[in-house]
Order: sequence, then structure tokens, then C-alpha cells
Amino acid sequence: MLDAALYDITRCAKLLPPAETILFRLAGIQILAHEPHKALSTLRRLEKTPEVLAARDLATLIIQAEDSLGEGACYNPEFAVVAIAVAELRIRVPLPREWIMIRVRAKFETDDLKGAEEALAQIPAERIDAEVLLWKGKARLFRDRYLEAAEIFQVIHI
Amino acid sequence: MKGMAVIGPHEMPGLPSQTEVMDFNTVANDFFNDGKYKEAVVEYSRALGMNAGDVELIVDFAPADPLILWNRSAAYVLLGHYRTTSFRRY
Repeated sequence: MLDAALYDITRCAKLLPPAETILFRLAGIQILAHEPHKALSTLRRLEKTPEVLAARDLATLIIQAEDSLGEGACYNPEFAVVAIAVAELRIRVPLPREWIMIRVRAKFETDDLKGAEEALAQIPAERIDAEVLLWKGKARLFRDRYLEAAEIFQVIHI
Repeated sequence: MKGMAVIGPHEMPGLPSQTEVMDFNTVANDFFNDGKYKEAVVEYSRALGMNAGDVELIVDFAPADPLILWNRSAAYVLLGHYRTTSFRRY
């Protein structure tokens, strides 16, 4: 749905002269569709109103959360956990799947397997794919629930 | 080229006429206001001369009313259970 929304609003923005309302809507959908870098560049074209600044903070937070799960100097999974919690409070809508996956990866990195499973359970059934199943299987495996893990991995294999 | 008629965007074969666009849009707006976003998407798509979900098949030269695109994007967002956001139609 968000892909379709993003397509429509992008096309709308191309057809009309640049306007604050359109660009702000475009940025909002880019954030929800997990395109924080694009959202930031859209938001940079807007005046720095409190709403725009809040949206910029949110996009930056998500970028930093992702970066903090990468190897190297930025590695800080605890930050990712906190960042997604803050983002959840700010967005006040169901978390985008990609943000839940950041939380899952962060919970794994901090050895909070129960937390990872709880986060995975937040993903709606229609958005469960092989990647989600893989993480679900890993969570079961690392919690010594081998039979359940095997069942999940078998589903992926099929 | 002699004898070829120049046609307006809403006279292109297969696309709805201006009146049909307005009718589809009105119905879509009613659905939107009633919170029936799925039905609204279908009607906005008709107004744009395409089927709902045909995003990949959109031909860029097809005339599109930006207002309908704006409204349909809001309907898509709200359809995805993002109901507490401030997405309103125009």
C-alpha cells in the first residue's frame, strides 16, 4: 500500500509546482515507506517549521539506528533499541516492517531473544516473508526450542 | 496529417471522459469520507483510467489529475492501517 501511495504522491509532486503541503506529505510517506534518506532530502527543501524539524529528527533517528547495527565505529545496538522505541512514540501509527526488523536485529545483538520474538510477533501476517521466518527460526533456535525452529526452517526450505 | 483531429486528454480512447472522471471522483470522495478506503481507491483509480493496484502499469503520458493522485495516495496510506495519521483528502 505504501509503495502505491508513494508512487501517487511522487507523481502528484511532479505534476504540480513545488508546494510545502505536497512535499511534506511526500516526506511523510517516504518515512513510512522506510526511505529516510529520500525523506530527509525532501524535508531539506522545506522551511524549518516545528513539524518539519520533528520529521527531520525522526528520519535522522532511523538512519542512525540502522547505522548503529553496522560493523565499525557506529556499532551500538543499544542505541538502535532506544532509537526505535523513541520513533515508535513519535510516529503513533503501526511501525513500518523495516523498523521492526531494526528492532529485531538490535534485540539479537543485545542478547534479548525474548524481546526479538516479541518484536517479530508485531509484524502482521501479510508482511511475513522468508526473512522474517528466518529471524523467527533463529530466535527459537537460540532459545533452545529446536523442534519449533526446525519447523520454521522447514517452511522456508519448502 | 490532413484530416486528423486533435483530441483532448480526456478524449483518449480507453480513458474516462471529463464527466466520468468527475463522477468517479465524487463517488470516491464519498467512500473516503465514510472511511471506506478500499472502495475509494477503486473509484479514484477509475477516475485515473486504470485499475486499482495497476501502479506498475501506469503510462506516464496518460493524463492524470494531481488532485486525484493526492487523494488516492491518502486512501492508500489509510488503507494500510495508518489511521491515526493526519492524512486528509482535498
